[in-house]
Amino acid sequence: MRDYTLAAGEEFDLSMRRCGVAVPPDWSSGTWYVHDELHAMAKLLRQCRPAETEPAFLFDILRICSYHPGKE
Amino acid sequence: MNRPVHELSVREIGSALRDGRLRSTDLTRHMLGRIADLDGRLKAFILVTADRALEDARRADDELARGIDRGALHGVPYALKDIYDTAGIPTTCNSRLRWNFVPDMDSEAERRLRQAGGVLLGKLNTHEFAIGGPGFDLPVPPARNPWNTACFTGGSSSGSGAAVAADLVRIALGSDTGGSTRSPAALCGVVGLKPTYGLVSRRGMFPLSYSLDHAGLLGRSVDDVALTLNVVAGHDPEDPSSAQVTPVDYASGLGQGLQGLRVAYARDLFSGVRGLSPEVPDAIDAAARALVELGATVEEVQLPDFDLFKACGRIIMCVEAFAIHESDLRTRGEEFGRYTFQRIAPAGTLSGADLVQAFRLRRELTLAVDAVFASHDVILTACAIGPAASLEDFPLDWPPPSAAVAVQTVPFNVSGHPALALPACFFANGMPLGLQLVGRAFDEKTLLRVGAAFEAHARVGDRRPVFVSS
Repeated sequence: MRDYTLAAGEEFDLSMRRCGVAVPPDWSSGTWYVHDELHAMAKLLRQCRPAETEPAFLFDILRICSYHPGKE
Repeated sequence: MNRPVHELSVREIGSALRDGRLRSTDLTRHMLGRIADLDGRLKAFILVTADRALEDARRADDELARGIDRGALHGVPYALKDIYDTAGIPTTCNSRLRWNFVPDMDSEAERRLRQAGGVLLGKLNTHEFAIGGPGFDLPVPPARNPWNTACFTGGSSSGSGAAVAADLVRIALGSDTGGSTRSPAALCGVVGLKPTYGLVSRRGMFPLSYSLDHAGLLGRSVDDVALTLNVVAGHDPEDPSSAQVTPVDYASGLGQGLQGLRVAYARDLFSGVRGLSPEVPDAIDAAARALVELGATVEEVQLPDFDLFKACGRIIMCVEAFAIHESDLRTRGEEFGRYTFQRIAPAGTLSGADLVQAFRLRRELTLAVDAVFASHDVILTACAIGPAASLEDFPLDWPPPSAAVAVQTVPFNVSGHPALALPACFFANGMPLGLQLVGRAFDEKTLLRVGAAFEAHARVGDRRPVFVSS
């Protein structure tokens, strides 16, 4: 459920100002929605605490797959 | 020829061109006429390159007459999503920010298609910068679904799906960062392939998200897509993400059948999704039974939770997109489409740690998908979770209802495995219902073989849309 309180709105505005992007006033609703959605997703990722200690970039991952032709 | 030329497959066109029953110039004029007649309603094209198409076609005819044969796509019309650079031809990304951009070099995919003798019909509609949504505030309004022109095509390769479904072009290139090729393929009832990450060069394709972007191929049939993949696949030393693999003939062996193949059915990936049409699980279950009839074994498997793939993919996609558009978002944000701005700008508020965490999870998710292929040859799952929504369901501000845009495609952008959307059947309301098959990394050959076998069994690709407007 979206938090429509004034404090939540001020937090969103501050957050966008910090990243240097001015949100056109009548575009605020959808921007705020995606902002909250992305932060909820980031929270989910933090809760996952992936066991792997190294981040991996996709091409590196595929190269370690046993099916990669270069691996044979 | 008993059928109109716009219904001919790539092989049928090739055969007719070579035995003199058809000239590429006549075929091209026919297709240009069809686009002129129908695209005012569909908005599949941003730009029709008629002069260039006729020049390509005349060259193709002339070469065949002189015994020069460039292969399966020689003299065959194609079109490109308008994010692929085309030298001397505008490449707009359907954005006011790029509306006057004319590249001086071809994208690598376009270079290969041209080298193969293809005939460029034009540049296809897209959501702005391959994200956004079907926005009416963009330079070109949303493409419309040929099965019902009041409906969404899926996206972001919206024009590619609509054009192929309406037989305005037989093959088209799209792109796929979270499902942008497979979504329009499923909703428009055509075949859409996202090859393995790195198999098809992305040089000259405007980026949305460096580590999730894939080229996409759309066609009327699996064979058409395989023949196109034969042309565009292969190492490009000037694309840092290009894999050093030796392409094979992806179109050979399509008729081999499925005896001995092992299919993993990832039913959990879609069966609990909010907004799921009950017709979807019924259809994918029926597809699983069909694969068994065709000789494969089918076994249910569990992949990690879809929400993890979705969160991982969205964080990476939005942060990488923000990095690409950061300067414009800060200095002229109002020139973006409303949806595009709303979907990218908030990513600037995420932290570096959030991105690293997404990449850490990505390794786990990818290895989990890859582990399935130790005991199976392909994965079967759903693509879109319901029929194409009405364009009227899209509000002024993001988000639209989840059922309007939800597709179960992003896991395989996160993992990089090749994935194929193809028509399975039709919803009760007459709109196409697609399934999704996923293959081992760089094993498009097996993936396409399974797709072709199902296609021959289901025979839904033969049905053509009758333009209706409800």
